[in-house]
Amino acid sequence: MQIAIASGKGGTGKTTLAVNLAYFNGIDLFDLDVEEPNDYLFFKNAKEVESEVVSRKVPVVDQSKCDYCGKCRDVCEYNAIVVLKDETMIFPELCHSCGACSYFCPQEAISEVDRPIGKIISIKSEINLAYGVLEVGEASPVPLIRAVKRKIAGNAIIDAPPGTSCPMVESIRDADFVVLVAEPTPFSLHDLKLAVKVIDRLDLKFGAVINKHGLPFDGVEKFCRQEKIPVLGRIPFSTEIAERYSKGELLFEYRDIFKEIYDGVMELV
Amino acid sequence: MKIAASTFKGGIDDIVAEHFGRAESFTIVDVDGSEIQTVEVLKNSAANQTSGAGVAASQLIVNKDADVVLTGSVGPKALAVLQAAGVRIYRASGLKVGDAVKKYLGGELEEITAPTAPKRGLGRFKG
Repeated sequence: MQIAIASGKGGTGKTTLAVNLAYFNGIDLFDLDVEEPNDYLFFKNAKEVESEVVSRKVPVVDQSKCDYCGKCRDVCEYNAIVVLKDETMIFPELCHSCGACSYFCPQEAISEVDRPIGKIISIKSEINLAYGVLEVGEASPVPLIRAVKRKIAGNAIIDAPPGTSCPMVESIRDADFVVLVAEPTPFSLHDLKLAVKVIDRLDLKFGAVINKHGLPFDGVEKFCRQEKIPVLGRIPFSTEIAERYSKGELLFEYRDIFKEIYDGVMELV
Repeated sequence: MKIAASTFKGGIDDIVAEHFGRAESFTIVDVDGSEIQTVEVLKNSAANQTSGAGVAASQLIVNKDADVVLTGSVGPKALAVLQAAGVRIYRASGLKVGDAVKKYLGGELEEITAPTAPKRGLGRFKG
């Protein structure tokens, strides 16, 4: 059973929900927001048990075999290759590791080598947590997200990155259920609608959790009623919760909310 | 000698654009001595690429056998390609293409040898 926590808009409370949902229900946690992982901050007594480097394949050209025909450049969808009169230049940071250049090279001048793109850190605390850390400057987090996902065995809470583009899609596509976290603001409603569109396309089961409940805007609740999106729980708007969060503390006083949300998900799956 | 200026609609009376990789067009001027022989406007097919626009634009310029680029800013990847191809780059943004070419021929333009960022994002932050 994999439950992914996503949102569209950043800062609605994905991390709050993910760490507390995982902790109070005793489920392994996977932080796939590899550009800014922060779930680990909530598990201060944790021991790092494993750190492994993740690489992806990028091309290198054997200039002695290359005849500068330009085929590799023409098949590259990401402009990672330039062919000059007497030099072929590769920009590995633009490469998406599709392998087309080496496949189509008539001279077999292109081979693929490993380029480190980040690491996976696994820690043991009251629950197990694994997260990815992307190298600064790496253009796409998707290969690293895939690598962290391969660590998932059994029940898992997945903390997805914000947005509705490739990293979010990759993070939620294999989940059994998606929880969308929204806050009562027009901005969050706007992005919630986008996230719902993505989830519909992926044909996934989902529900919503409203964070900062009590703010005056009622558009999110209305939207959920209209679209028949089950609201699995409401986390109150509270400066105490915000303070707790800023110190990296779990929300023990609110544990029932997170147990109810989990029970709600289990009923719907 | 061929001089390529990053431009908007393109042409000898157009203004040299601040951006290189995402410029709308390149105006390529063929110069013999100090006389402009031909003017060609090349649509920049790299302008709307999601990534690597500077690299792809540099490839266009190299394919056109340009010797000189007139622009405002060039990123690190485009600079690497242009330098490897022996293309020299001069700062001329804001000038009319015709005037920029004259100033280049008169040795009045500053050469760009290190990557720079455009002065104003992609037009979002003005002022």
